[in-house]
Amino acid sequence: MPAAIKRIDRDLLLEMSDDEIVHEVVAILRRVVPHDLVDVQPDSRLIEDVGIDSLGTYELVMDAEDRFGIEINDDQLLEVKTVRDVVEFVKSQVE
Amino acid sequence: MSRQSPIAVTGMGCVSPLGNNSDAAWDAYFHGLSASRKLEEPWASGGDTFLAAVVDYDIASLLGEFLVNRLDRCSQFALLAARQAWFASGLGEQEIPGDRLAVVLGTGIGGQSTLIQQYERNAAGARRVHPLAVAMAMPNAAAAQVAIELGAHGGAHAPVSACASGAEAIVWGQMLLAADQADVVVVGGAEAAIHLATMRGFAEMRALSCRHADPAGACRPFAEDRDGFVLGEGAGVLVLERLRDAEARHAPIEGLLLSAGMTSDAHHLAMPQPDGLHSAEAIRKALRCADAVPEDLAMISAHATGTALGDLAEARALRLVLGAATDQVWVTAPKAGLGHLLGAAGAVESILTLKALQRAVVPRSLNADPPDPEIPLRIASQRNEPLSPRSRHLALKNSFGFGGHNVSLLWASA
Repeated sequence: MPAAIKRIDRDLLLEMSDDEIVHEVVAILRRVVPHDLVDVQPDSRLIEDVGIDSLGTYELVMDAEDRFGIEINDDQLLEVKTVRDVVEFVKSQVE
Repeated sequence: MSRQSPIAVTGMGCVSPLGNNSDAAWDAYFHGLSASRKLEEPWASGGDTFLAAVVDYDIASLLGEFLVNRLDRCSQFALLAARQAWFASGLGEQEIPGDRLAVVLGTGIGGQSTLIQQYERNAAGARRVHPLAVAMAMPNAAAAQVAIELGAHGGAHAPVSACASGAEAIVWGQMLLAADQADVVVVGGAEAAIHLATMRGFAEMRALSCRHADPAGACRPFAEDRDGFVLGEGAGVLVLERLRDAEARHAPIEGLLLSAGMTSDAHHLAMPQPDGLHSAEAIRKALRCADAVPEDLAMISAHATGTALGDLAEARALRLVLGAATDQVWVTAPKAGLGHLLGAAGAVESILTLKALQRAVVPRSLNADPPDPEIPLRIASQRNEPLSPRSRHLALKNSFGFGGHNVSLLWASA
């Protein structure tokens, strides 16, 4: 069953570099796609490159909300297409 | 000629409190070990004491992060047991068309723990539940996941008949082969219901043993002072093929399913019919369909959960069908040490029964002392009993479920 995800402290999150947030997002993606993740870059597209499916997208949303303490609505989700988009969205919500 | 063609078991796999493959579980069973222990988990320390037989297995490293997060523990057990059975059958290296391969995996409760977990996270303030919460909880999830893994397109089914589910799945497998719906059927049962809500529910119906100070001696099938079962978890999976197909491909044959009988009490949601009338008919059907007589039986692997009513009804049913032959056939109750695996019980215990037939020995029935004078069965309560030499040994495996589901399987050595 889905393992609980520990929330990153907000102050800690504010100090994290983009690379560190990318690393966190990839850790979530690893739970969401059935295959091994190799060479995921900030520009990797979630559907085409990472191979996330439609329900996996909602899994990513749930896990990202839990991990980063943010809220992502369905209309905002349409704008999120790459790993970098996730990182930018997280930063915009935290700041 | 029997009315049901013999079915060969060509692969077995199990994840159980006594061991995480068929050989390990058999060894522990043969040596009279008990998996029963006091639960020390935080959720079980709120005042109540619970005993359980828990699976100890590094599931995460075997399945990986994706499947660990996408499957309830019940489906995880099923998948791991199915992988073992499939590998053992050797079918993975042959070209089995997916549309001739079917899966039947029963469960009593399915993925309810995941649904409760997701409800609890929601109740604790989380905005969302997992998008696959329902798909993880549904009772057919294990069957579906195993079908996905094996590429089985010949049907994936999930009989749900409480503690008879695993045995019923085996019967469905036999029926699918007989009806030419498939050439290979992967059958079994899975359960992972060691959860506060389930434990409390069983405790309130006085189904669980209260011998908390003596975990290994708690479940006492057929003993006069029996007071309930110890909840277990796990999965058992068997690969079934027509005997002629198995022989043609020189498959390893673990044993034969000769026949089966199924009936329903239509009596009560939880209690067995006290006189065992309809469970007797399931046993009778199984014998009749194989043209077998009571004297043919070498051993009986009883359902015997260690409850006062259930064990008595089963003993009456056996006496009713077997008559005087009851005095000659050894009876053993695997749940005494294994725990009660609910929907997985019939499958895991069938695997143990096939192992017993292979070794020609009836493992000791633990904790069956003092004997209940109202249960006149020949219980192997003192030691492992060797079977008298015969060319082929037959064993009866009973599985009964809440709701009055009665399944009896007739197994034979290969």
